Amino acid sequence: MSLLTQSLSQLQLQLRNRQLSPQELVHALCDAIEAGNEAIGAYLSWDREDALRQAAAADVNLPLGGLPIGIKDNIQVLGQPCTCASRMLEHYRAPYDAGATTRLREAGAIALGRLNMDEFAMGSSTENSALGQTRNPRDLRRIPGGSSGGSAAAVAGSLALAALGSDTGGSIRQPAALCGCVGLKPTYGRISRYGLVAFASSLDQIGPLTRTTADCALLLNHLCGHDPRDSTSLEASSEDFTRHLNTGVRGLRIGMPAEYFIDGIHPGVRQAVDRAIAKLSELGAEIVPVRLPHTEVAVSTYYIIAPAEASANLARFDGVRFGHRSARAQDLMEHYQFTRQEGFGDEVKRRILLGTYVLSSGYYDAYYLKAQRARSLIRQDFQQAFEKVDCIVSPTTPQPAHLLGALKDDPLAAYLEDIFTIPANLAGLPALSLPCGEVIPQPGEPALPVGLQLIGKPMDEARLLQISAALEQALA
Amino acid sequence: MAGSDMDIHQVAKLARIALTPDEAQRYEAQLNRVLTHMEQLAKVNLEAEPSAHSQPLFDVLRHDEIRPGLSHEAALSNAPRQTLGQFQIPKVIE
Repeated sequence: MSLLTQSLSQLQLQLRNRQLSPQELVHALCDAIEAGNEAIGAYLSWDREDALRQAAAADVNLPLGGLPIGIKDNIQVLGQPCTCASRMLEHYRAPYDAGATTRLREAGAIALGRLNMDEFAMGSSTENSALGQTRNPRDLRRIPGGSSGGSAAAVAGSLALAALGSDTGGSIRQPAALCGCVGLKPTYGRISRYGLVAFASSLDQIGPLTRTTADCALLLNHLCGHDPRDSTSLEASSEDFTRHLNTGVRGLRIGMPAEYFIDGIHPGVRQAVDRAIAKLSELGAEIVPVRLPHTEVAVSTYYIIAPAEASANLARFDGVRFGHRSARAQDLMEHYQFTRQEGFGDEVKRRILLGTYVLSSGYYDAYYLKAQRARSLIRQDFQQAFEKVDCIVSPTTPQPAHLLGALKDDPLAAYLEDIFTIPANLAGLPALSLPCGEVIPQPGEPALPVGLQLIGKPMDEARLLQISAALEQALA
Repeated sequence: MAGSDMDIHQVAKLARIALTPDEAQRYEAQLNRVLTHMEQLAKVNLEAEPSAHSQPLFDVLRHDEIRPGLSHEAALSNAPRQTLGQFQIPKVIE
């Protein structure tokens, strides 16, 4: 078996037995990236020498000792680039470690490589990156999903053992589904957002993308925990997320929301998801119909709240303390206007404009306040459903990976495809996507992965991983 | 709640983003379609308290004590222009 397709725990064992050194692992990964990244475009940059320095200092007896992890290019690692795939931050280098980076370092991991993304995490295809094109390793003509498209493509394409992503409206789960890996967005507040470049602060969460559920649980063990530098960080103590991986699903009640099984889902996606749900039933889970009646307004709600928060967060890019600065300006107003015109791409500008509009005088009540009320109702829907069930199951995406460019000039059509992933962010709930089957879009074309989404109660990540592990084993 | 009355130039001014005529035209058309879709919010009964967050959060104040922070050099390391150990900005007063 190739070194780079093995699980984190298999590699960990070899590192501890001295059958493998962290340096050998770094070399193997960097060789693979140098050979494969031109086609897939998962990485924006990597630094073999820096990774080798980290490897030389790695203590293999630590929980993630000597294991290289790829990092989405919006999570800061001291001294490494952190471009957010934007011209605005093309030459920025992180002056400090993010909270999640610190946790990984404390567990002995090596931060290797900066993974491509939609600019400032705004998008679902990674086509909004200003710095490079990422392709789906399963079919290079297709999108990897996004915004953590580089993370998913690297893991699925064996260019990373595991990676960190961030998820504001599905940006971990959707690319995981489209590339065929496991991706988890934890409960809001589980993982520190300190040092994550902010997009929408009430929705953003960092999480792992991995090849297996067990790897996901292992990585999560070393990412969670309170961080006083993030005022929204939960006080919860850390826990062992691997503890239920072999428990099975017998006796669990799993909810199937009618609102997530609608017309417009690709028949192949529907078939794979139905088969996975039947398998859960075979394994002893009880499938229970539930209702989430406000799902229909989730996309509108999200595309008011997220751009509103983004318009405030991205005000910091003013060409003074960091980032691009226009050379054309004659006065201060032009300095701001030209800096931001030149530094931001189309989608970022659209969202800042949309956010500014919905917060502006005369429109606040009509849009932002309404969206905040809708958010409460979406959260209540979940609270009521979780009185009856332990977990909710759905497709992660309505469609398999599109061809590159398919939705490029139609933002609304792209937004509407986020329908199944957005509600978990609005409600702050943990949610996971795992591969549950394949679909062949046209005869003769490569098969594309289908993702199954599991949404849990707050702090119930261990339960999601339990169900994911059981299903992964049964579908293998 | 009518999406069609967005004045893209006014919004762009508030957002401090200069737009080319082509950008203004494209974004206005695209955003008006998005705003039109959002009119569905007016059609549902939204009787609920607004929530800014997914969970009840309270202001957290840190202890008033000295902690390590960025060095002067690190804080300036990404500045597009600096002079005399400070961020250099365009002249703002005459």
